[in-house]
Amino acid sequence: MDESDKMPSGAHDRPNGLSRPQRPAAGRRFVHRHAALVRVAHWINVACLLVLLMSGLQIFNAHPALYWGEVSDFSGPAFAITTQKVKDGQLRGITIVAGRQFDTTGVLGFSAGNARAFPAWATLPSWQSLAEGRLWHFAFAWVFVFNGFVYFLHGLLSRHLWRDLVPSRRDLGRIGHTAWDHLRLRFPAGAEAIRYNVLQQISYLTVVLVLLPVMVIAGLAMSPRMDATFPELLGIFGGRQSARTIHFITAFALVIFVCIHVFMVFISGVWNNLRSMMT
Amino acid sequence: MPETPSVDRRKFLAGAAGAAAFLGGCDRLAQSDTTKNVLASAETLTRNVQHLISPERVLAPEYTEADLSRYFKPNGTADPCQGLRRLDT
Repeated sequence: MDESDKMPSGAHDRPNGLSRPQRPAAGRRFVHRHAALVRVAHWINVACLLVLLMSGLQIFNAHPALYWGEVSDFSGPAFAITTQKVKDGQLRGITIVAGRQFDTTGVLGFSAGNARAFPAWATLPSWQSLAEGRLWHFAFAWVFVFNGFVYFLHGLLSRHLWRDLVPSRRDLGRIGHTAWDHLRLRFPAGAEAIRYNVLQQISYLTVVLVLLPVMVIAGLAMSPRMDATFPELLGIFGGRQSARTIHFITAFALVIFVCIHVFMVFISGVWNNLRSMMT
Repeated sequence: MPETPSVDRRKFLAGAAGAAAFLGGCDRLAQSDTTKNVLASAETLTRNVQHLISPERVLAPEYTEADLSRYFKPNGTADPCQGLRRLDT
């Protein structure tokens, strides 16, 4: 439901994107925080990224190791999740990061009695199937790309990206102050609360303009046909194995972003934030 | 003092049950043929777009002999000749 239903004035002549504060109605003020298209795109993106992450972990499980360069040099992976037998025949999950070994039994390498890199609850489908993981991954990659394209086009045409996401000189000057307020979990109220603060602007822009595009390009660089068509793809990353590693690192950067994002949504007024993204 | 019911624990259990139902739902969904057919239809799209953007006679990048890997991972058997011989006899 649209909050504008409850609000007598100015609901339909508002500009796209973040709107100006509207006339107070009965002591409370409802503000259109996000354009409808941005809200829809946001939730489609949530679904896509969840499916892409889980099916991506499924695909990763088929060969749970990452390398730099053009070659999978099996002897020295940059990152690997392995299952190893210890003295008494017990299986342990061992994760290797840059030559160091960590016992990750229960989650990585060995979980719920199975020798598998990522646990069943984290992969789509939950059972081991590279073929089905790829089906999900490539189908939702299309939805993700279309959605991202529409969002980006709208952001450019409505000037949402420029107006709301690019930090102003004044915002950048106050970045230290804003960061300090955030660390003390003090959030802006009133007029300042209905626009993105500079930390949001920087992190959202990084996600939209850096992480997500790098994700797509690194993904394309893993496709032999795309490499044949655009040999530059391999040049950018320095080999298909590097592209795979960067695809994986970017995925985890996004996971970290989502964790912080959801945390901030919760502690800065969960209902108001959720409502602003839905209605 | 009587123990007050732990609301947090209830919430946690409800959340865990919800998550389990969600994951179980995922599996049921993932097993259905309809789902797989819908997902597979994206492959047609992928194929068509690839045909559209890549020239018909495009070739994979070429490498020199120096690029040959020192180590070649055996897939299935470490001695394919041995395997072939066994098939012959």
